[in-house]
Amino acid sequence: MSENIIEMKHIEKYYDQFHALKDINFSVKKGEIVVVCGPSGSGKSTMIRCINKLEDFTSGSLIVDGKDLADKSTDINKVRQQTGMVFQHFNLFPHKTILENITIGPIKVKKMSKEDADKLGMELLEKVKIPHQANKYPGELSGGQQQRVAIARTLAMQPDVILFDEPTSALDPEMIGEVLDVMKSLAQENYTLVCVTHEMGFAKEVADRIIFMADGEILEENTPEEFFKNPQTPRAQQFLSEIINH
Amino acid sequence: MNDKLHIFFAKHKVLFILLNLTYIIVLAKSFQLIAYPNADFSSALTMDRIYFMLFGLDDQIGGLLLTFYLAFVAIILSFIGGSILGIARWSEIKIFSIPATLFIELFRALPHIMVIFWVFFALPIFFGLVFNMKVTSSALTSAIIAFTLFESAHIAEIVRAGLNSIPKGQFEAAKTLGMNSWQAFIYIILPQAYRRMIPSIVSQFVSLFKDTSLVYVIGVVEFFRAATIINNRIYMSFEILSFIAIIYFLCAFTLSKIAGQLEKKVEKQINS
Amino acid sequence: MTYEFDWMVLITYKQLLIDGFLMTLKLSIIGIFFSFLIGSFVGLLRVSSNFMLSLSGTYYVEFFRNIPLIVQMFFIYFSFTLTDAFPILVTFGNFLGLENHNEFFSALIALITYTSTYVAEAVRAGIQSLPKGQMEAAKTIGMNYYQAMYYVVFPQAIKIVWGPITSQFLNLIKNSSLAMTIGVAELTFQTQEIDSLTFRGFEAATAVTILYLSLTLATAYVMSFIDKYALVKVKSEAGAVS
Repeated sequence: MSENIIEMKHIEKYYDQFHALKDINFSVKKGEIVVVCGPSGSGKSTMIRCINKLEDFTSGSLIVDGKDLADKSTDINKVRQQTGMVFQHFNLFPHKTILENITIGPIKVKKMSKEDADKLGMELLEKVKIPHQANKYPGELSGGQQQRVAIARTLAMQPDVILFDEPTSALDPEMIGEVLDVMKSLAQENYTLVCVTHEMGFAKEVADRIIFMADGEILEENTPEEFFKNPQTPRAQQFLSEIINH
Repeated sequence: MNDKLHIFFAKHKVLFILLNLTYIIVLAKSFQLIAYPNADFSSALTMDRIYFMLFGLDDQIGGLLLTFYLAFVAIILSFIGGSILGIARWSEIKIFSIPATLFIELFRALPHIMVIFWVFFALPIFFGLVFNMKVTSSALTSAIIAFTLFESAHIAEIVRAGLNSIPKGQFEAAKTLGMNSWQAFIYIILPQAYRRMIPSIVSQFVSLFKDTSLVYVIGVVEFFRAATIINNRIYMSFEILSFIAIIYFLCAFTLSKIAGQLEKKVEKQINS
Repeated sequence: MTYEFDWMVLITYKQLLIDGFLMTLKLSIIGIFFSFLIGSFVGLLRVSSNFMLSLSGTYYVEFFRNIPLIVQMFFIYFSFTLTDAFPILVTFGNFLGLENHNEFFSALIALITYTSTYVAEAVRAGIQSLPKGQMEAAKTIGMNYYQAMYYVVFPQAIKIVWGPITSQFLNLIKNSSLAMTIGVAELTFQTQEIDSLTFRGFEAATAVTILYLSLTLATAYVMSFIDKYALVKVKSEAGAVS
């Protein structure tokens, strides 16, 4: 338990009558890289959005770095500082410059000084390879560049865990590579990554574990090699065959 | 917890309405007790006073009935006027669009109460000047004319927005079927535009309904004026004005809910 | 019957016009300021996820929007003596150089309650038109609800609905004319005043029309100026600034 930075036990979630998450038991060790895949509507986004409480769950227990999310006294904002999220549609702040997008978290939430935050911001922009865009606005950047800024924005808060919700699904094919490269470099460092994605090549390269979900349940959990070679359930087999023939 | 409340009330709509009503009554009574403890509704609101405020006198229609009458006549006339103006402004023919624009901008910028005064006092002068006729103003007629003037301006803008909301592709498609501009306009564009405008027009009607209270200033004995007449006699303004405030609220609220329902229906049609 | 135009009355009675204009100005400026403040607050209530808060917001909006403004003015003025209940209003009234405090403040309060409902609806529409992802992204970098509203959501929402809010402010200026019915000597009142003194209603009405038009144009210009220089800018891909 002490090594698990995320621990989900018997998580159930209902949207009104719809049973979105069924008895989810999912834990992630510090430094692990987990990929979650499955057909759309399988609940994968819902599940990781529970981790930073963008979604509530109906019952079960969710502990993130020792903090119980079901407990009302937990300061969810502090938990969210430790878990960053990268969205499918980037969600950059269009009324702020690229640099401001990255520094607004450290300045307003962590009370960093502007000079320190700007320095940090420029370093992160170097890391994602677009330092020259610092004073532009999101609307002026391409999708791939915006997503890289979104990753830098998350990194600025120095999280322990980074959640990715289909980060490349809204990108033109030629830009997917540049974003995956950044994610791969993060995998080399000490971050814990939980990634909902369809990019199986990425999974094969860097993931420690793959989770396959369908219809709100976790159907399979395995190492990437095992999963791709020997999918156990028919649903997983069907999913993989469709992906390959795509 | 709040989500659960929300879902619960969505399912049990009648319960929700009843709870709201109780809450409102409690709030209103508390307000009255704090602000005006000596309120005496029963002696202020006698049957014949209520009758007068709702229906006017026996030989002359007045009160709330007159309010609705005024609103209906005005909306119909403004609809016609506003349509002509709106189409004129939307058209690209300068002879139509420029005067229309001037008219619309002028009457949208003027306070309504000023237009009402203007028409009432200026009409005899106008007739005297132009037609050399001696005319005395009837307050009601002046009111109707005044409302038509500024409401047409507002409706003209709704019409223009409605016409602009039709994609250009419709016009082009109609033309490829062999229609000329006029036919395309009348058979294809106008019907669609009007369907989209209906919620806005009903909404404008609610506005107009509330504005009827303004004709107080020229002496038309509609709902508001009737209430002030009674108040001038018995000096129980809290009771009388609360009464009309509630009735106005009920009427306007219901009408605006109807407008909301129409808006949903229209959106369904547009998106289907 | 002929009508002789006598434009000189406007010069003779220019003080009345000036007084009226100043009164309208006082009502408008204070009215706009507080309608914006209260309207924004109620708008935020309306979009709150707290059921009781959003219901209160709905009550406020429906109540003050569906009762005609003139009825609200009369109700406050004739049912209560504001300066007795709130003596501080006497100080404010003297500061503004008023003579009839009760009339002015009754009209002002009604104007504010009425207009703030429309501002509230505009603010609500603006906030709801933003993609949910903006609030979510702000939350994921650790901002609480208030920080997210203040730095991310509200600035963008106001920018989006600045046009409709401007319309509501222009409406307030027009609606200030209703104050004359309870005895506030604003601009429309002065039209009637000059007319009753000189029977030159047409000239008076023309002058007053021009004054109203100037006031609304000036307000529209100020709002547009604020839009350009004080509100957040959002640059789109094509390089056009909105």
